[in-house]
Amino acid sequence: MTRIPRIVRYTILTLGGLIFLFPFYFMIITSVSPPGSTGSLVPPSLDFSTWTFIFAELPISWNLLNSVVYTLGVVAITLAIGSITGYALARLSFRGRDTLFAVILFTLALPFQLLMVPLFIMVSDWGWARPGPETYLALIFPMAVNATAIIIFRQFFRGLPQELFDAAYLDGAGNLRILWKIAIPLTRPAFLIATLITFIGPWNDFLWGLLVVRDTYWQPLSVAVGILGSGAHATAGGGNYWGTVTAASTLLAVPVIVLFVAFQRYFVRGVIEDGIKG
Amino acid sequence: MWINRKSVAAVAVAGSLTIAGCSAERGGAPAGQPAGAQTLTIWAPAGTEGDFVRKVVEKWNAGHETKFVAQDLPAATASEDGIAAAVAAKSTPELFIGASTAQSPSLAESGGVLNLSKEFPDAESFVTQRSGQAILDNYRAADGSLYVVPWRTNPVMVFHNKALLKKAGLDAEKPPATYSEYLAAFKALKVAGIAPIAQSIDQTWWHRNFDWYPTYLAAAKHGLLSEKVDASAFNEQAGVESMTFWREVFAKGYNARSSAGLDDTNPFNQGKSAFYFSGPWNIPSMTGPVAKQAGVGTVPVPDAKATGPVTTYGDIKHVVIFATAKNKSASWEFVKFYLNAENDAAFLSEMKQIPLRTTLADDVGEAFFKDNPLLVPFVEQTGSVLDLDLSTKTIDVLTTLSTAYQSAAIYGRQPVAEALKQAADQVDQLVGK
Amino acid sequence: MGGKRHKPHNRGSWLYTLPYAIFFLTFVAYPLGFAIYMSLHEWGLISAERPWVGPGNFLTLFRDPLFLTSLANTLLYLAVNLPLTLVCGIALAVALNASFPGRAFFRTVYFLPYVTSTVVVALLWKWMLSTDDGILNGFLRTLGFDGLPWLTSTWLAMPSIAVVVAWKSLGFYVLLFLGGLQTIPRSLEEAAVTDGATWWQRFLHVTLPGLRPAIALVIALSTITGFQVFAEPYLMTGGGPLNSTMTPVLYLYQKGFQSLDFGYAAAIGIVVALVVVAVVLLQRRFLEERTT
Repeated sequence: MTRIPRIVRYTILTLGGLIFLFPFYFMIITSVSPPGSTGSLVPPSLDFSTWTFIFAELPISWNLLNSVVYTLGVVAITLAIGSITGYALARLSFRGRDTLFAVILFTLALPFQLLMVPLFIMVSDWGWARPGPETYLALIFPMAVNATAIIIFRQFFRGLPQELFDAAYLDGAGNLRILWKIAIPLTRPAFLIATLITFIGPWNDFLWGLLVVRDTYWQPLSVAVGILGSGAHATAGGGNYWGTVTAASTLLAVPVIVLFVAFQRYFVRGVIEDGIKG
Repeated sequence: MWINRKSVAAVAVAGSLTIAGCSAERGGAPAGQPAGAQTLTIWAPAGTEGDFVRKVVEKWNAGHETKFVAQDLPAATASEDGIAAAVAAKSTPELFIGASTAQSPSLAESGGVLNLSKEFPDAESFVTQRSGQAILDNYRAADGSLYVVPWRTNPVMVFHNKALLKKAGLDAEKPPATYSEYLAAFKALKVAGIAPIAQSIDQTWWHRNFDWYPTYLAAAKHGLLSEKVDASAFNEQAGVESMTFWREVFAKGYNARSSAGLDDTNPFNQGKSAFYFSGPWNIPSMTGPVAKQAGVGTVPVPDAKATGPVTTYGDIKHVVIFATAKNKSASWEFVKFYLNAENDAAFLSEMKQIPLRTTLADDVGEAFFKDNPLLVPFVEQTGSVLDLDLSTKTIDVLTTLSTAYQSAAIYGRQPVAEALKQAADQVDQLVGK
Repeated sequence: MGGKRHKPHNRGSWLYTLPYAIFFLTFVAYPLGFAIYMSLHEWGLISAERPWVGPGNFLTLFRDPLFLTSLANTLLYLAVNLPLTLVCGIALAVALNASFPGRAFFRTVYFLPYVTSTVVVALLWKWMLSTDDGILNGFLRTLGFDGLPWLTSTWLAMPSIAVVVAWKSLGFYVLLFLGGLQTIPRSLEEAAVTDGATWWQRFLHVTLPGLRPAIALVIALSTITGFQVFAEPYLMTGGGPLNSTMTPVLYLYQKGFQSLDFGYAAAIGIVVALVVVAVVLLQRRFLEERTT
């Protein structure tokens, strides 16, 4: 562990912390500023009208549910498929392994905007792009496997000492058993990191969700909030554009932040204390 | 209603939506509809316009077997971006209220929207009766048919803040009209320490519809392309003059090279700048003292053209029926309902935007205009507005000109004539046969 | 890494890749094939006629000054974004890599932007960086400086966007660096302490070399992100002023969804993907050479 002087540590962290925290303070404070004093650091009074406004405008409970389903679906599939693919890439040998890895790297390089139209035509042809539970299929599947997650799994599985596997093989354990009993328990941090990197995609997705879901009740929260924030000609929130946008933004950010704070205990233990020793 | 969001109304809306949101039913099917019945869907811009559409839909649903439901598209540019993709994926609903002229030729060519002349025998007579022969003829597509129902116009004019003009020693009752008058007024304001004007300098194409393009139309009295939309027509005196005007505005610092927002967030609406190029939709955005101090004047014209009516950009939007419409006749009936005299009048009074109805002024009556004096110049202006060119390349043309405008006017990187020449070459290549 | 790999259990290994292969073929390969097909046509997004043009779109692309501008803009972006991400990311990771009061708080703080919607971040920063009424210039003026044209000058707009993206993604990279720090054997560190090395020397000679794999990963990921920057210029600058923040993907989007020329847009997307792969491979070769 690098021991750095306490003063240096706290200086770096506090300075950075201010830069990172300030926009959020600004966002929250703007959302409760009365119209006319948005943009000031300390509002003269508090005004929650933007909040009542967005709760009145959006079917929040449905939007939240849609976002949760969308996000959980993508995360679950990514963890399941990503981990076994990463394992195969890291620890198994088969013909075309390097090609497969190259292909996965290549998918990272593809801009989503390129695939968006063909994908949209596909899911429309399949009848998924209409209000109803099939909306979830249209949302989830094209996003379902996050390539970065596979790379992270591969990285972690590769980091495990070979001796572990050798011993298990000698005991006669099969690949599946080794994956399940040895590799996965040892790479919990990989699952946490993969979860984090995967879930922000669907949670904050705007482009794809907007394209395939037009029905307010089936829209993810991010799309609902984005539409609210787009109001170029809309006198949203009683003439308080920034107040409305920041309130909606806060609303979108809060569940994720709460989740992260709640999760953080495990997360920290995962990465810091159980971290793999090389 | 979003704009006059008085507390009682807000609570009522909140209540109904929350109940709708929490009941097990979703999918936006209107209440009281028999299971399995078709729900016909309308796309409308999110916000106040979407709310207006919803109100009309409610009225319709109360009296008809077929039920409609309105869905929000994001306001501004992103909505148009998604329409074409939806057409390509055949994932469009019945109707779209708010199609822009920039997109209508592509939509017509694509087969993604219905040929109204062919589908509905009364389509052309309906448009003629409501908006006049000239409008009908103007929006005929290349094949002579009508694919869009011209819906409303928002003539771009120039708001001014009388209190600020007075402060700068200007005659608040006689706003400037020509280039030299405008520039003189801007100068006086700047000397008095008041920001003259704060138009957006964003390079996205449609921003030019609210600064340079109206002044170009005022000077040229024709569009950016030739009659047959196969060559550029802006590289002439009117183009040079109008862009030189804006070059002066930026060179003298009358308009800061800053990213001023639109509407609610524009400095004019906060009482911080004296002039604002915008449309009638901006009237509800003005709150507090600005609302009482505002006046409306015409867009600047070259000094030599100081007399006669001033032409400007009309920002005309349309209603289209998609080819995917499940019930074509009901969709057409709804269009006629949406655009009837009563709803047109309601649209004017609530949205402060102007339906393309020749009898509009009589329909709403004099008393209305007495209560809404700021709307009067806009309604009068509708007599001389021009629209975008009806070319599938209009957005590309405007994008090209936006770059020229940034280069020559905003940042003064090259002479106006040179920038326009370059743009003309590019546009000729773009639209040429 | 330990010796030769034993490979006794590799029968049926490919089965492990089957689920991904199915996903890939359906949701990546097929639409990509479709996009390539489009790129070989004059494919109006909604036009009825779509004539074959062969490599025409690609040939036009390489002579398209705006596309070349967008690539040059990306290089400027990377020149700002990469060093900033590495320096700040490593500094924060090293500072966070210990038990101390407030650690959980700081870690959460750095993670906030990463988990916040891009739309939100872009709109918020657009406002804060506004030349006239932005809060940042407000601060500068209070301190007696002139405000800067963060998003409204051709030379500063792209660097501003590069900083905003770095700010947004740093939390995740800090995490990768923290993971990397864990792989550095404590014995090395302790040996250095015994040798009387200062913390700076230890950082240079123990920590930094140990972080190499993480650094390589972060460089690769932020390079990929850099070539795909879209939402920030789309929402903050529209690609301006004077195309100084035009990025390849924003150009793709404008060509495809606004000009409706999807054949050309597809060609842009394919070329961008190939450029990214080339750049990342070059980086890997460079970094791996230096590690081994």
